[in-house]
Amino acid sequence: MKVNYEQIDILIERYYQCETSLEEEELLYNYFTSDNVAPNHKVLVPQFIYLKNNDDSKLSDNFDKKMIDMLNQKQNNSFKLPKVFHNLWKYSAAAVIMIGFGLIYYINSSNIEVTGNSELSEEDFAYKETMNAFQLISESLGSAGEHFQSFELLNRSLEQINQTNYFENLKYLDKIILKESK
Amino acid sequence: MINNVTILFFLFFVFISSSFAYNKNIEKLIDNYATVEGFSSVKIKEPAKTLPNMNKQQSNALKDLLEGVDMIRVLKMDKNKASKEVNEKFSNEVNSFKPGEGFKELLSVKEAGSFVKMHIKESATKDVTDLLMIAGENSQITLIWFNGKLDLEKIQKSASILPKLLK
Repeated sequence: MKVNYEQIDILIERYYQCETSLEEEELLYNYFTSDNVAPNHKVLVPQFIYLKNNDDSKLSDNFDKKMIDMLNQKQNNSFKLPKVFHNLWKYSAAAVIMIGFGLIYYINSSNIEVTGNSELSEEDFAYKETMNAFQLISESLGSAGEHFQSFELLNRSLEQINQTNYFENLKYLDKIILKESK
Repeated sequence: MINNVTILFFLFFVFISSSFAYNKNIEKLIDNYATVEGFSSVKIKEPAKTLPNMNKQQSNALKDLLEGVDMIRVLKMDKNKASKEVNEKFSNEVNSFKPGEGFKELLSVKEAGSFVKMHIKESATKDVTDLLMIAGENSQITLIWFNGKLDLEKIQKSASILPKLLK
């Protein structure tokens, strides 16, 4: 078979420009699968063989429908904000109002509250009572500390007495042993 | 929608009430008697900020003493001013009073005509967070409650500076 290489070159160029007809492409496939491939075209052989082999692959009839279904499914699966956040601004406003009320309550609530006082100003009465409280606690803790110290002293004395007796006992035993040995 | 708002309000109030909750048993006892005839009471929040202003000469010593104390409450009953029934009721209540979970008795001393009971509460880190003292002598019963991060040693040693602080 005589091959017109100049025509093949033109066809190849047109093929890559996507200008070839189906017949012309068939011609090209036949050429590249024949034994008459020009050396300068051999580099294109694998490509055309591959294209020829995969020529049968076609899009199925319901390809469009499948794609649309897939896209819809993806949309359905996309992250949705929980319902509770739909009215986020309302909750934020409610929270701000409540915090505001809380702050007003906290600021307005007096640091000193006094009852049963008719002689001094509230502050003076609170001051006096607080200092008295400190005094009472301090005295009680101090007195308890003294008690504990006394107990400790007593314990130490008892230990000393026991220790003395222990040495006395040892001395007595020592004497008996000496007597026996004589 | 309404349910969600209700939940939000509920959570908010739980948060607020837990922030301000100290110890219900002690608070309840003091509140019950604070306004009764023969009783006087004092409640001071953040005394380290309030009290030093009242004795400017000793403000630093006061600040140091009160540092860490979040709240002080004192309830005092004057037996001569309270009615006999109230006197008996309060005395009984105080004698059998349990300050609540977490408190342990630090000391209890009974002498002729007087008594002192002291309870403390410690945090998980062994810091003393509450000190409750109930003392009775002669004509009065006093209940003192300190809340905060308390330094018992400092409180005990306060005796040395108190004469300066008492006006």
